[in-house]
Amino acid sequence: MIRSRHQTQRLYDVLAYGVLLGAFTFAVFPILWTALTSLKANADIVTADIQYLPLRPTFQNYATLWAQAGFPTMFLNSAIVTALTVLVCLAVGISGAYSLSRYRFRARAQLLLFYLVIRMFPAVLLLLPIFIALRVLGLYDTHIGLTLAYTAFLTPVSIWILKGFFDTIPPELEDAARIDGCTRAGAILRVVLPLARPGVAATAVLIAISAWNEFLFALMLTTSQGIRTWPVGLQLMVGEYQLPWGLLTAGGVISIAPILLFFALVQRALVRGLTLGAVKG
Amino acid sequence: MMRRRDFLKSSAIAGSGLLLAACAPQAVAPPGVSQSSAPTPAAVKPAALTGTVSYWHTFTSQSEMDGLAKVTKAFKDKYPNVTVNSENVPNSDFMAKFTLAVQGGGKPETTMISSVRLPDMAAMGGLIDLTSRVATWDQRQYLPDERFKDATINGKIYGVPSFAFVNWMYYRADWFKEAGLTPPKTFDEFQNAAIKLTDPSKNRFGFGMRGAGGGEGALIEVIRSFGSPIVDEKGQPAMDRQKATDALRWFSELFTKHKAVPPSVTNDSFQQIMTGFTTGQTAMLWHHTGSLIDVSTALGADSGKFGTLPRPAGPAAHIGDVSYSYNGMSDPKNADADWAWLDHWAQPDTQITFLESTGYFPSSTKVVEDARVQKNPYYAAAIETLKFGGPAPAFAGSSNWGLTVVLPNFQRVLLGEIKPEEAIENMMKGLDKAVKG
Repeated sequence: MIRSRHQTQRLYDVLAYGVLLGAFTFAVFPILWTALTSLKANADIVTADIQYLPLRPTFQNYATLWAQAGFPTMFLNSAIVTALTVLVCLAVGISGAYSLSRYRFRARAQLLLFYLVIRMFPAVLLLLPIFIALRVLGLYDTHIGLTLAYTAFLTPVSIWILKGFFDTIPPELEDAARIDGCTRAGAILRVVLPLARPGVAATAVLIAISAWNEFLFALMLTTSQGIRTWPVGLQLMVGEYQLPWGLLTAGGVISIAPILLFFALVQRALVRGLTLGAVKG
Repeated sequence: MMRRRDFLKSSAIAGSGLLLAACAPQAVAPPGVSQSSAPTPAAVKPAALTGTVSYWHTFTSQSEMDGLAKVTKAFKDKYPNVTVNSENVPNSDFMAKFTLAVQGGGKPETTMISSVRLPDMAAMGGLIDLTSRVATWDQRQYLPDERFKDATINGKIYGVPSFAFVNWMYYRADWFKEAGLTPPKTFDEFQNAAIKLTDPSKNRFGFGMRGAGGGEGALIEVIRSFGSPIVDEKGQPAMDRQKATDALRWFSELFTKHKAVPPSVTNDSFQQIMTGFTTGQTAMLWHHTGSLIDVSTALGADSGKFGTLPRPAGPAAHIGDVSYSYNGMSDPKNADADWAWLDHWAQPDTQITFLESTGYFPSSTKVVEDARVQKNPYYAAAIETLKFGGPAPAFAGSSNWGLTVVLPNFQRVLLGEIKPEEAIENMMKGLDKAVKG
């Protein structure tokens, strides 16, 4: 009976690992395939028989892509816009989320719902008003303009996420700080934000990923090569009659790298933040 | 400490600002009305033209961008005081960006226009009437009327043809030689070659049929080759049930009966059929001149492995569609310089330069007669096609009908779900609905 139970347990374990391995392969294979393809010569990419491993590994696709006019600039543009978007969204999001978490005012619930509803609109519907607003303000085709556009639809998300984290921090801690002489702002900076650091990190990563990969606004709200971002550059390589797989996959790997780096930097705080945010709020 | 009232006030101000910005008045022309006509041309010397010209296009590939760079450099050499600012817009997002510019401001001075998009672009007030400029243009004599057909709406010309996509076919010359076959000129010869060149043991198929996106175009050409029109001269449905059914049966049987087509046919779009041909899986491929550089690069321009041919003639008609890409003016702030840019694209040397970079065929008859085109063996098929080919049948909603009615029914026949008779019945009903609403 005991042996049978062990056998059953082992079977469950094998099944569980099998499922996990399947899910892992499903998630990782496209990324691995992209990386492997980026190391292949063009002649080895489109072949009658599939070649899984690069027979003649080369970094030529990376070199060619980077040498193409505008790509380093596009990369830098993406970095600037992403960094600005994260800063603005966090600044606005922290104040907004804190207010919604700590204050009770009329239509508070409706305001929160409104932030959620904004996210339900397809981004393309927000495009025209934002486009006109940026043209009127003279911010069309600028880093600041693109940042403001991203902020418009990423701030509500950051408010929702951050509010969940602020709700978990007892207000009594701030009260204690204020009794000790802190101002409201001082209490936020010295007590609330250090405690909410995992949440802030998680929010920053989510905003950074969204801003880094965003394509529609980046295309529609920019026009000059000096302002365009990396995803637009990659999309522009897809021709109606030509598809340079080698360059595209190299571009894909390069576009993943900064996000992985950022993730590595905030990983510890992020993992804690994600688990906290998942059950609170 | 932020008070509740302050917070609400700030929110209200921010919201109002966005609302005001969104509602800012913009001058938008009513549908179907151009905002203004391009000024009539004046004889301006190249050196006298100054300023900038903005140009939107959908070129993306390396060869296209190289061609554009050469064309732009030649323009700069001719007009040293004019600078062209080109902006490439992904083809799939072009209409979204153009519509946004028409509604919200920021239209380009000049733009590339595909023939299928031109009616919509003109209807939203995004294009300028070029009729008066074209009437007195010295290049007009090399551009026959039919080349302006897709750019003319209610007698007004909105674009000048810059290059053409000529439908033709590629074939593996080495395989034909090996099998002792002559390149096909008729549908019967084509079918025979496709069957004989099929050898599943070698993973070889006679024909790379396009059964996914874009495959409807080839089927419509086959239907017309069997003698069934799609619409009549008044744009009314005119399909001949029997002829169209015969056409669909003949075309689909290349797969369902003769197995001369890869089994993945219903998933095969442009990339798949191109890969199949360039990697030695298929013997024949139907596409147009725009893919010549791709095929040449993959198989070797002088390798003798491939050749080009006009599409084979059907039992009732010889069909080969020719579609033109146009350039037009959208918001000419510097009209003479803008027109000079459009004119430059039609000049023989420019068209040859672009042809050599991209394989995109010239629109000017003068260029087609040029020795550099005439002596190139690959272009002979395109020159031949220009003698009998012409624009594909077009009507409002034709693109949607092809994609949502013709293609799915064609696929169902290929999958054996329905018979050609039923598919044609569905297509005719769909056509009726598309045309009559």
